[in-house]
Amino acid sequence: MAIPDLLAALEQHQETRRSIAHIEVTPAREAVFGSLVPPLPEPLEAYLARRRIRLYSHQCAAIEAIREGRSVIMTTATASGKSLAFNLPVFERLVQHPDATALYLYPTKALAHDQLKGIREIEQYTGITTGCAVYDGDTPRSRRPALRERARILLSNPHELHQILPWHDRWRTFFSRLRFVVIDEAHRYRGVFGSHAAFLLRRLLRIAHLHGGTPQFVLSTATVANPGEFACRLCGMPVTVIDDDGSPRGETQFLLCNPYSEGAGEGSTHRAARDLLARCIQHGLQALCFTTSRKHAELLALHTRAALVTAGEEGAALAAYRAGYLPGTRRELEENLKCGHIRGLVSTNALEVGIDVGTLDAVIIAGYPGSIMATRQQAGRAGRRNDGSFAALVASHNPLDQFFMHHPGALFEGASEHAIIDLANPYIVAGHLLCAAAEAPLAAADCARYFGDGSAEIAGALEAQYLLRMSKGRWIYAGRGRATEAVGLGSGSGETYRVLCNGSVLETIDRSQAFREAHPGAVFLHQGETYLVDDLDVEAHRIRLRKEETDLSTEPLTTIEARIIAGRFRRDAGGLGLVFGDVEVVEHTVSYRIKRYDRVIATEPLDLPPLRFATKGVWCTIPETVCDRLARAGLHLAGGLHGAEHALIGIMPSLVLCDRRDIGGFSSSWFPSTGSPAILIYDGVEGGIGLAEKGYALFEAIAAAALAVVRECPCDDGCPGCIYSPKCGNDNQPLDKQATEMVLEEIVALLAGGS
Amino acid sequence: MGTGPLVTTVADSWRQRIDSQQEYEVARDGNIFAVGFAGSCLFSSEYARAVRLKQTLAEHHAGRTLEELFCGAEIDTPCGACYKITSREQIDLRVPDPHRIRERLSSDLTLVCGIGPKIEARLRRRGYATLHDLCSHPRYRAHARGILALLDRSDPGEMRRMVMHRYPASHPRLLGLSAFHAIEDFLFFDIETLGLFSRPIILFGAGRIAGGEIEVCQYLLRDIAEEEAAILATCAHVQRDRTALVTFNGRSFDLPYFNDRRAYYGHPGVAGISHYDLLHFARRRWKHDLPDCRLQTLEHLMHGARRTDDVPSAMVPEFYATYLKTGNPGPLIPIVEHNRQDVVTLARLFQRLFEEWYGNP
Repeated sequence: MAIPDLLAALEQHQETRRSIAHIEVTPAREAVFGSLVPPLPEPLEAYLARRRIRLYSHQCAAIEAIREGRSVIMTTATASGKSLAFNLPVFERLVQHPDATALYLYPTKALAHDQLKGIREIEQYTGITTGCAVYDGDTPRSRRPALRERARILLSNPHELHQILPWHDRWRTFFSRLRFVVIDEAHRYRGVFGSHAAFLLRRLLRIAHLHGGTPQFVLSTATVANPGEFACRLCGMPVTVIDDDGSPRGETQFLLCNPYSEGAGEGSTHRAARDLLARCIQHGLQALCFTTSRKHAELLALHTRAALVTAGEEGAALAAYRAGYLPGTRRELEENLKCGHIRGLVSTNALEVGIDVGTLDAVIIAGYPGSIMATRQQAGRAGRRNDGSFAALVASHNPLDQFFMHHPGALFEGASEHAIIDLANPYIVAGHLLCAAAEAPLAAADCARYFGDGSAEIAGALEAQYLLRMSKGRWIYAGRGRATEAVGLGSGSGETYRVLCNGSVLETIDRSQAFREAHPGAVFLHQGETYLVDDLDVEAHRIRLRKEETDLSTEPLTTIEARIIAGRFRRDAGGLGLVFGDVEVVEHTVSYRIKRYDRVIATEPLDLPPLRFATKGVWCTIPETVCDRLARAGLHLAGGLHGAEHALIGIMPSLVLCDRRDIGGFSSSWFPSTGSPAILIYDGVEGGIGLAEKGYALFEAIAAAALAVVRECPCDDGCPGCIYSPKCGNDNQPLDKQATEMVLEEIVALLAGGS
Repeated sequence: MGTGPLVTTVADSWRQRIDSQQEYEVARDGNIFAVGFAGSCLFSSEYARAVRLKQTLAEHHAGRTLEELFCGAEIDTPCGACYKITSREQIDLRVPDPHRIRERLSSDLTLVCGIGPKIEARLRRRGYATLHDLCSHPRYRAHARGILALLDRSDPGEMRRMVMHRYPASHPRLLGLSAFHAIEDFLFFDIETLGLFSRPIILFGAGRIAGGEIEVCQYLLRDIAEEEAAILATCAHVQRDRTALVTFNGRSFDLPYFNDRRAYYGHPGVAGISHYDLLHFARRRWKHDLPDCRLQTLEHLMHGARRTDDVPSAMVPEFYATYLKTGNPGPLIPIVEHNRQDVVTLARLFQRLFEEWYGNP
C-alpha cells in the first residue's frame, strides 16, 4: 500500500497539492496470449517451455507476418518481449534454411553487446548453432574472416556497416544468404542520422541483391505516431505494423507536477523533483529520477540526500548515474539496484539507452525530456508486474512542459510524435551516391530503384565535378580518398567540424551546429558532461575545448534573414497562404548569453562570419484583414507575429519528433519575398531534414496547440512558459502577448474555415 | 528532390569536401620521424620538386594528345577499348639450377614433420644425411618418401605449400623454388592507383622475359571509364597457363587491390597462382644494411643511380587528376616511366637475390 500512502501524503502537503496538475491512473491489464500454427520447431518450443514463456498475442502476430515473408515493425511497450518476437522467427528460419544469415543492427556498440547475451542464450538452450557474434570496430582483425565466412547471425551498428559495404566482395557468402535485417531501437534513426541510415540500408539492399540475397526487414521501436510511414521510409519497402500489445501491466499512477502553476514564483523543477524523490524513498519505494543534464543529476542527488537526512531518514542509499561509466562500475550499480542496496538513483537520460536496471517502483522525470516517446520510455521503467507503480513528470518553465500540464490528454491518450525521415536532402543523397558508386558501378536504374527520383540528376552533377565518371552507362567513383570517410552518418551539410578535447576527437558536428553550440566561450554538452570552448577555427574546421565542471550554460543570440527561393506545395484559406518550399537563410550569431540555470549573468559579443545555407521551410502569409483587425484593437502586429513564431516553434516538437534547436524561425510584418506579413519556420539542417515538410502537413494542429499554450498561460505579458524563446536573436523584442493570441486565433480560424 | 542550381551547389560542396581529404602529409625536411609514422608522408623539398615537375610538364606538352606522347596502340576487349604501351629492355635473367635446388631440398631433413634442428642434428650423427637416407628410418620413412615423390613431380605450387610448413615466406628456400618455373612464365607486375583503397587503377604494368629482353606491356587509362577493359587485358597476362607473379609488396597490395577492382566490376578474383613477393626476401637480406627497403632504395644499391624526374607514389593521384581535368598528358610521363622502371627493377632485383643466395648461376 505504499503508493496510495504516498499519494495521500502528497495531498496533505499544501505546496505539493497546489502543484499537482493531474493524476492519470492506468488500470492493470491482463495478458492476452496467442498461439502459432504451425508451432515453432521443437527446440524453440522446448526452450519456451523450459523458460515458462507463453507467447503474447502481438508476438504471435509478428512471427506470423515474418513467416509470410513480410517486413514488420513492432511498436509495443517497453518490456513486452519484442526481442523474443524477432529472435524466434529468425531462429526458425535458420533451422529451416541451414545457409540463411541475419544481420542485426543496433544504434550503439554497447547495445549490440548487451543483446548478444540473449541470442547466445537461445542458441545454447536450443542447440541451434548460429555462431552469433558482434562484428564492429573493436572486432580483432584476425577474427574477422572467420566471422564473415561462418557466422549466421552478426550484430553490428550503422557506422560499422558503412565501413563494411565497400568490402562487400569479402562478405559475398554472408550477403548472398542474407534473409533478415533486424533493426532494434528503430526510433533512434530519425532526423539527420535517420536519413543517413535510410540511405545506408538502401546501399545494403543493393549490395545484397547484387550477390543474390533478398532480406526482409524486422524493426522494433518505441511508440511513434506514424510507425508504418516511418518504417517504410527507413527501409524502403512496405512494412506491416504490429502494435496490438498483449503484454500484461500493473496499475500505474502518473502524476503531473507543475511548480509553475501560478507563473514564475517560489517553485522550481529542481525543488519539486527533490521533494518527490525524497518522499518516494521515505515511503519505501525504490525510485529512479531522470534529469536533463549530469550537473542536475548530481545536485539533485546531493540535495535529496540532505533532505532525507533532515527528515531523520539516514542511510537511504542514493546514487547518481551518468554516461561513460566503466562496465564494471555499471554492473555493480545494476546489482546494487536489483538487490535493493540502492533505494534511489538519479540519472541523466543516458540510462534510457538499453541499460538493464530492471523495473522499479517509481520514476520521477525532472523536466520534460523532449518527447512524449522518451517520457513514456522513462516512465516505463516503473512497473513491477504485481504491485502498482508510480511515475511523475515535473514541468520546467517552457511552452512544451506547460502545454502538457494543461493538456494531460496529449501526453496519455494520443499517439506520440511523428518520427521524421527525410529522403530528399540533396546533400545526404549525394554523399550516399558517392559511397554506392564506390561499392559497385551505379546505373541510372539503380538510382531510381534505390535512391529516389531525383538521384540520377544529382549523380549527373557529381559527374560534372569529376567525382563520378561514366563507364558503359554506369557511374564509378573517381574522387579522392575513400567516399565512406568523407560521408559521416551524423552530419547533413558538406562541411563538418571536429570537436577536439586534449587532442582526441569527441565528435564531429556540422557547420550550423558548430556556430550555434560551439562558438568561443560556449559551454558545450557532450554525453551530459560540460566543456568550455576555447577556440573555433573556421579555416581548419576544428573546435578545441576543455573539460570544465560548471553549472553555467550559454545561449547564442542569432539574427536571421531569410529569402524564399521557390514554393513546392501550397494551400490557401481565406486570404491566408500556407506554403512549403525552398528557402535561403542567413543566420548570424552576434553574441551569447551566459546563464546560471534560468538567470542571465552576462552577455558577450561574438565575431563569427554569417552562416548562409539553403534549406526547406514552411511559411504562412497573413492577410490584410488580420492586420486591420489588430490595428483596430490597438495591438502591435510585429509583436504578434514574433510571438506566434515563438509559440509555433516551441510547440512543434509535441507533434514532430525533434528538438526545438532543429528548427528555426523568422517573422516580419513586411516579408519582401511574399510582399506581406509572414511567419516562416525552417529546418536548421542544410538541405532540409523533413521537419518543415511535416510541419506543413500538421500546421492546423500545431497552430491550435500554440494558441492553447498562449491562452492558458497565467502570465500577463509573455513568459518563458509561452512566447519567450531562449534562442531569440532579438532578445525577445518586440513581443506582444495579446497580439500573439489574436494572430494565432486568426490563423486557426482561417485554416479551419478554408479546409 | 532539388533541381537545377541547388544540385550544382550540392555537388560543388561535395567536391570541395572530397578534395580536402589529405592523402599524404608534407613534413619538414629531415623530420624522419614524421615519415616513419604517417602512412604516406613527403619531405617538403620532395613535394616542391614534384609540384614544379608537374607544372613544367604541363607547360611543355600543352596541346598534345596522349597518343602523340605515348607510342602505343588501342586494343579491344569484351569490355571496350584500352590503350597499350609496349617497350623492351635488355636483361640477363637466369634462375638457379633446379637440380641444385632439388639437391638442397632433399638434404633438408627438417622438411619432415616432427623433425626440428635438434632431431636433425641427432639423425645426422647417426648417418641420416638426406631424405633418401630417411627412407629407411622406421619412423620417418613414409613422410620422407612422400616429400621425395613431390620433389620429383617438380610442381612449384605443391613444393611451396610443403616448404611453407617449415619456413617463413621470406626464406631463401622459397625463393629457390623459382628454379622450377620456365623463365618465360614469370610475370613482373606493378600497378599505379588513385589511392590506397578501392579507387581506380590507372596504369597496369606487366613484364615478361623473352630472348634476353624484358618486354613491358602497360595499359594506361585514357579515362577512368577504361578501367574495366584494362583489367581484362591485364588478366590475359596474369591468367596465362603456368604464370608465376613477381611483385614488390604484391601480396599485401597489388594483388588484393587488383582483385578488389575485379570484384567491383563483378568479375571473380585471381587466386591460386604462384607468387614471389620480393619485398619479403629483400627485407630478410638487407634490413640491417639499408635505411629502408623501398624499391628505389634497392635500385640505388644495385646500380648506384637515382631516378630523376620521378613522381612520388603518393602524388600519382593528383598528377593523374590534372590530366583528367585539363586533357594535357604531360603529367602522365613520370607515372608511365615510374611504372615501367619499377617493372624492370623487379626483374633485376629477382636476379640480384639469386646471386646473393645461390651464387651466380
